[in-house]
Amino acid sequence: MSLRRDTHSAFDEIAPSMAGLSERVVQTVLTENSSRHRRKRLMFRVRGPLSLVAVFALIAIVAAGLIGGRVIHDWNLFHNSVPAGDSYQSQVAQLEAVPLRIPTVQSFLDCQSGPYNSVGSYGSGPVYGDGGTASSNDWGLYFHLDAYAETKVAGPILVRALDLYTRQPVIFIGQYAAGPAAVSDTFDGHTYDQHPELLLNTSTSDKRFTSHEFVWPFVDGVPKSWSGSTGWQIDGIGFSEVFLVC
Amino acid sequence: MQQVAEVKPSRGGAIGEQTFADLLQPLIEPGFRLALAMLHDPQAAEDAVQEASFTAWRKVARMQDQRRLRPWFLGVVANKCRNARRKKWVAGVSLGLPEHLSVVSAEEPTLRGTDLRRAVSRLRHEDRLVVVLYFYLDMPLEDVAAVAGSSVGATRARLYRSIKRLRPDLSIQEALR
Repeated sequence: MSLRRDTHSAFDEIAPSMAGLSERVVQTVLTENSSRHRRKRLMFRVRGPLSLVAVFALIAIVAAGLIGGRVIHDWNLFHNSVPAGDSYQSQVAQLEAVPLRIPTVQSFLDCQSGPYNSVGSYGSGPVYGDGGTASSNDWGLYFHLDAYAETKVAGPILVRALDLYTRQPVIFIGQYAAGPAAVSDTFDGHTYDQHPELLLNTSTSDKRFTSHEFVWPFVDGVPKSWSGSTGWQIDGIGFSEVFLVC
Repeated sequence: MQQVAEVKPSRGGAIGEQTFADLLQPLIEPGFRLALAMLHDPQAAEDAVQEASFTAWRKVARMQDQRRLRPWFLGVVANKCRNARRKKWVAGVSLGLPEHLSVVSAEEPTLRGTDLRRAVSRLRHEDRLVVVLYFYLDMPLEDVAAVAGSSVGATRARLYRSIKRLRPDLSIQEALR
């Protein structure tokens, strides 16, 4: 038997009848949508009083944030736990001087993804990479990814990546992008400079969307001519890790 | 860290319920077959397709090119499957599946099916997706690449590597028949 026929029979064995499935799924979406509309109408009736409460709550939050931020700022100044600017920049320069150890892959059959951690994220730690969604434009593909750490990492963290075959650098856009900007591109309605590095720090973590201790959502990009396989190197003070995505 | 493509739709208005039903209904069965082969659990597969359909309801009206609906929807289903498997990862490792599985040793068809399903389940998400789309949904490589958000060349390479893991004794040409 061929692999195709084997695959069909292997999965058809466990497939239940799909009669009525399409109608059931679509109907559930439409029904749920209607109930959401009803909830929206109910919300509209209470929206006036709620918005007043929301305004007061917002004022309270802003005031608390300002006071709290000031206290934290003073505390940090007092304890001086964040490295001084010059020292931090010299650490970044030190990481940028670390040679890239991303291997050259001769054949796609030689390329093995990983290493992975115990939950399937890329990397050997302390910083890991997780996948996300992709968007394309005329230049190439942009991927919305996450880097994360579960323990505090002292100092800057530098991320660099290469196409494993063409050796072209993977580019980064957005708030964590760093290094000299070569070109700019318009993506998702905004014009961004493309940078060759990603510079992270546990104090710039953005925890809005995941439960990891420190998270940096970022966007990387590859041109249309990319090979489909990339190598990543993450350097920090006292560690350096490399992983492949084939 | 390249993953399944979820092409961002453009801005636009809403569509009617009937139009949505007409667009989505033909995609439910392939979506379910994809989810079943990714998750090996009919109930979890239906949940993944249902969640993907909610996503489609929110976004389909804003898609500029509705010919891309099929690869886009299958990509969303694949993402839901990835999340579902992450949630049940702890349960997955307790199965004690061997690292290397032979899928050609068993004579009995049901056993062979079980072996093949286990071997497919041991592949990484991206590899499993390409194998399922190509061999189970019978999609051409170009369409598989569109769902996987990758180039055709990279998708072909991924497929060949996966075949080597599933059937190390078969040549690529034999396996592709």
